[in-house]
Amino acid sequence: MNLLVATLTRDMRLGLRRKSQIMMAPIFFMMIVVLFPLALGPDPVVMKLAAPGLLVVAALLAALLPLDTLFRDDCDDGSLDLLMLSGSPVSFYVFGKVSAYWLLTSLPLLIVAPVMMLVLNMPISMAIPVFLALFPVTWLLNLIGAAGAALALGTRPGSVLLALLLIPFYIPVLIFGAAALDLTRNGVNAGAPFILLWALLALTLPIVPLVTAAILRGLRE
Amino acid sequence: MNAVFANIFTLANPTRFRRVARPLLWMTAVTAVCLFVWGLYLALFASPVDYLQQESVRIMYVHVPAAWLSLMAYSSLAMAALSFLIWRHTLAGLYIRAVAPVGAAFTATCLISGSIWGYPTWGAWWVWDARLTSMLVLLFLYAGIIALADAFDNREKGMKAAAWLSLVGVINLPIIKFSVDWWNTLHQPASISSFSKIAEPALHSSMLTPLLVMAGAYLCLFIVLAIVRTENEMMVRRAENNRVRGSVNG
Repeated sequence: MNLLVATLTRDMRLGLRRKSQIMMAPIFFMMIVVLFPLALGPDPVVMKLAAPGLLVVAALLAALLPLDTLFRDDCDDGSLDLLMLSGSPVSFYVFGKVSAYWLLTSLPLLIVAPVMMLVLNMPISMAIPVFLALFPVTWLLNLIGAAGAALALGTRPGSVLLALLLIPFYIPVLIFGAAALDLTRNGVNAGAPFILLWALLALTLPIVPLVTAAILRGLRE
Repeated sequence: MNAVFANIFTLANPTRFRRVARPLLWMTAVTAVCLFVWGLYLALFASPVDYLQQESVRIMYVHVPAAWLSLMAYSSLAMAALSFLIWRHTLAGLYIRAVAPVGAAFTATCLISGSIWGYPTWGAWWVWDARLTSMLVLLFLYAGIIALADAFDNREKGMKAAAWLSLVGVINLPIIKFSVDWWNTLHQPASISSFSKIAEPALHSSMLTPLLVMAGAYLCLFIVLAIVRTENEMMVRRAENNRVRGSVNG
């Protein structure tokens, strides 16, 4: 538990020192959202149909892009090896990492999401459903992404490998996230996809740090 | 159980593997050719046309076995991954590298033949049905495994990472299997699913027999490809080791 808090505070401190990097994920998210009306045309009908899926796709891409660096710094400066040698539970370290990463990249994204929602012609009443859907979605993306980042650790940086690995596992998140928003926007009972999203989160939250820790251990030996 | 494990483990020795694999290779290769000739004859000439789909029903004999084999290849991949990670049999790691492209090829065959079948029967090359989507995800998974296995400078590390990915990807197999039951969309549910249905098949024997013969042919083809490619990986590895040894010795 101490390790979790220590990792979290250290990563938060490191992240907050690089203020421009914090803004990168939400700005990237906004830019992707802006691309679609420009490509599809600003027709309100098209926007109405496309907006829910579009928000989730943009969140997915914004989460995917900086994942590459999640463990890389710790790996390069040797602190990951020291952690392994210390015999501390690596899963807590992973969870601390993902939490800090979520606070630094996904929380700003959730804050700008209502604005982007309005840009896409969604009614303002959607703000709460958007939050309730994107909250588990971003957590899921980051948790699953951590396992992918652990797998790709030690490959050449800056390749599309990570996207190739992760997108198959992101598809369920994308489907349920978009379905939740789409059904809500149409005034249909959207309980099922929301429940599934949160259930997926409840399932991955304890499992993924353990799997990621095992992958990190296995590949470090 | 231990005896079974002991027997499998003796095969993990590359030399012993080759000694068993060589005769097996020839046997399965000959069987594959015979079954393909017989199966294709049955499928293309001897089996009846469907009253609704006409001749296009014959695509089934290519499509369904490819789908079965793509799933079977993945299961074998996952089992090899497990034994690679637990017991560190290098042969299992080589098997992952060797079989992933074969599985990907079967998946692609299934998707392409399904697409060609879908156009006359469903009126579209592709629909976003749960079964089709999960098969597409399987293809992506295979692609990820192939890419990951090659992404490391250290071959062992690549095999280990690929093994992890194949294990985690097993989650997709039940989704593919049950996708037709969980989501009631366009793709039909399984006709051949259990032994009770084999006793009272949903498919008439005039179509079931060619299908099963073709499935046998595909299975033999898979075994042949798996053996040849695993041996190939073994030789590449040996050559690399020799090269390293040669450069060390000057």
